[in-house]
Amino acid sequence: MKKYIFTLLSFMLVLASCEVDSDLNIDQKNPSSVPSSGLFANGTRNFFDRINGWHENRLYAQYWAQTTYPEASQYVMTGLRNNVWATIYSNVLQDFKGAKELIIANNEENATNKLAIIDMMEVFAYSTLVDNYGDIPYTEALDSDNANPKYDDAATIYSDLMSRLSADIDNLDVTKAGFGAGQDPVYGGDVVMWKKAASSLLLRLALRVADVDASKASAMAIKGAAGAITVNDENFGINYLDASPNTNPIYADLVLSGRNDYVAANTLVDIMNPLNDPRMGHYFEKKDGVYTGGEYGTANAASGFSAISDQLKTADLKGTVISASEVAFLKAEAVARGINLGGTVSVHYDNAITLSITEWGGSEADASNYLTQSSIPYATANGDWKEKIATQKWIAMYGIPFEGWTAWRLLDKPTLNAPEGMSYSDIPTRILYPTTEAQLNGTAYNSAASKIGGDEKTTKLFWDKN
Amino acid sequence: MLYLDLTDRYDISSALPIDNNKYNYYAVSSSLIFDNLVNLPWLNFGKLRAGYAEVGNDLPANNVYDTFAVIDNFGSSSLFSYPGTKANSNLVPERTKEIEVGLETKMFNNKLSLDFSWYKKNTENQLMAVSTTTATGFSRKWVNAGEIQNKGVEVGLNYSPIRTKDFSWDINVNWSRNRNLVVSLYGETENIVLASYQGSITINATKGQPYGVIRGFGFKYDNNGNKIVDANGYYKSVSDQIIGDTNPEWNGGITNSIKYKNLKLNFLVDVQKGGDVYSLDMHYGQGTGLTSNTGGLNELGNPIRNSLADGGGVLNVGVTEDGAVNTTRARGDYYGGAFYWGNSSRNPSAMTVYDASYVKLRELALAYNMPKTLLGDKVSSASLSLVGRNLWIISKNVPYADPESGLGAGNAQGYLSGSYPTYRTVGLSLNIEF
Repeated sequence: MKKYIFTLLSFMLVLASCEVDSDLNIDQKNPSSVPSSGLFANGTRNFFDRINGWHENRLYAQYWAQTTYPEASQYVMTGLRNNVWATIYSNVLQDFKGAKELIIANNEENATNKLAIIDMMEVFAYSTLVDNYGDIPYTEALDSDNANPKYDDAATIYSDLMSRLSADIDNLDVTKAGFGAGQDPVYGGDVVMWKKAASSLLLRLALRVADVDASKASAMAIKGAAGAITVNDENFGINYLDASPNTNPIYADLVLSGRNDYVAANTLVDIMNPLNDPRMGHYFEKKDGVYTGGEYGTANAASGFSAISDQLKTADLKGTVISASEVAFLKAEAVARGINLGGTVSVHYDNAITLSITEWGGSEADASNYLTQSSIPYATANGDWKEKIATQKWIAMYGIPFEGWTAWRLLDKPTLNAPEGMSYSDIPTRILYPTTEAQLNGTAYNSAASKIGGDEKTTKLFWDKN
Repeated sequence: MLYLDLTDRYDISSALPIDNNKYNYYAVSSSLIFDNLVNLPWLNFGKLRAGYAEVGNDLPANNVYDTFAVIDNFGSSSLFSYPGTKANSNLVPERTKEIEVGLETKMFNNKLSLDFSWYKKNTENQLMAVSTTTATGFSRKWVNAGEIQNKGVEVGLNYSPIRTKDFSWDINVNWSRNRNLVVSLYGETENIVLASYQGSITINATKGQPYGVIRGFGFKYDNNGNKIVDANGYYKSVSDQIIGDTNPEWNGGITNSIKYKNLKLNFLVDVQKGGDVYSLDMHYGQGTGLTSNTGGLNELGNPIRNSLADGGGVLNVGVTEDGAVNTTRARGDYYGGAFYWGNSSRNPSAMTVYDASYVKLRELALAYNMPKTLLGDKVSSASLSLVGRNLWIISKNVPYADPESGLGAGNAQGYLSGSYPTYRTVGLSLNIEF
């Protein structure tokens, strides 16, 4: 046996006593605290940008058709399904949440009005999520410590949103200020206008649920209509600027991009042409002396059909998300449903059409001429109240395409075109949850998907009954 | 002879939260040289080694305290926003625990030598900025993300079958396999997205799966494992499937060195078996009809690009939803047909996932040592060598690209996009010593 040699090659012990300062670990290039109004303005701008920039809604409403790449018009939702979710939660609602926390923590001046305005915007954002997807994370959302928020029932969320909005309207004190003029890119700090916008939104949400909760719809519609927007100058829209990156998203995507992805869709053009609609020239450009739409859902030649109008491709075009015309159509619908908010269906309906025509640049005379055709006025147009209101509202919502698609979802008119190889029942009534939800929040996603009746494009939302 | 090494280390990191910024770690390793103990005539050298080490780690700076992002003004409105990644002030140091044993031997007059090692490495509290559902308000968050285990063996073998004065031949073989497993993730999380890419592809850490599985739209299969084809002859797709594993089954390499007098030839053949890659180049390449598989003749002998009425199209192998063998040919005459890049209902992303196995001639070198007689007095030695690298991909399964040309960096491997051809380098070098 050999002798083992045990060698201690190295043994080192270093005992250091040192402390480090936490300042070393704070990013000095970015602010650690910001004003609440900066978060409010950013969330608001992002929300208006996306509502105006999700051109898929212009396709789903079948106002526009596509050219070389027709997937989106064939209802492939690859980008949209992720984008609506990600933008609204993390680029809109998270900023609003932070703004609210700062206003409360700093006990800011005019806090009640500021909080009501932000809350109204949150209601708008959450209702947009519900109107796209159905059930969504709500009570457990925006908690960075909860990586797996559950999805809440869409109808319950909607009911809560209307209660919140109703309280916001009550809380808005028009004798006091809101955000400063410079930090309010929508109404320049005018609380009177914010109250009108909040009332208009309440009217919109109330009529969404008219088929599922008639009594709540009635009460909320009456309250909303009483204070809603009545003229186009009051339209709820962001005032875009003429220089990038603050232009209307349509200008960025259709003009600055240099692309030719969209033409007029046959669905809209074929309905408007026989009506001699004075808005046609404001919506589209003529092609060889006539207005002609590309076949919806196919790859159209960009040069073969009416182009999108230059009016729409204006850099500083106002990005409207609730218009006086929409409000008047909502009032017409409410009265047609027997909700007593004053006036007749016919008066509201005619007024809505007139407001739409003048909003787009037509004259009062254009509107009254239009209304002399027997196919237009409420008294003589074809179909039941749903068909009459839905058809004209759909034409008028060209600038707020999500409401155009939603008018079809709620009132089932006008008749859209199923893309080649698809049937009418394949036209989506919602958008799919983001692809990443299954991977990042699988358990909650799976139970929500099965509860709403499957994560399918054709699953009907809770308010989509008749 | 028995050796023992002990080390210990204590770190304080300013990048960690102040309450958890100190960590101590250590390593123990020992080795035993045993050839003298066993006294076998054919054994020239023998060594057994074993080690255990723990290593602590921190994260990059500025990820513990939140700050805001500054956005370009909107007219007169100054804009601020939350960044996409949420910082975390509750982080603790990451810790890796590794155990390794090995055997090193030289035998038969040093003609054969073997080096074998086995290791198991568990990384706990891995510090990562993981993807989160944006319903949390953020798209990423720094967390201590559970435990990842790597286990594997490495074998090295040297053999010198011929060793004479003028001629020698050495063979060196190395082989390794690593198996990794996501043991646990943080909280109730079942899956972490490591990277997401165009084509609805993500690279993931999924609990109970190897680290780095590819997820995306997968084929829809019936109970017998047949692919299901829709009414128009296209493969149906199902969202969020595991469609590949980026980890190879094993890697190996063989180097041969042959020396004859002053001439030496050296070549290395590298092999990878298994591992999957997703090819965005094929996704768009075949989608737009650039690749040759989108042309040519179908099983009827008709051009694929003929219309279906003229007998064109592609017959996808599979069954219909009701189980009958598919007889409907998918269109091959426009981009939206059989080779279309797909969506959530048809033409799954799995269509362009490929086996990343390869056999490559990695290096070939020919060297000539100038004979002393030519050099004169002033030069002590001189050699001329011609070295080529990446000369030949002998075998592979990924079309039109080197399987190794992925975006692969750090955590995310297995995605080919805009692959450049791998450089082939040939160099001539002259080495003179005075």
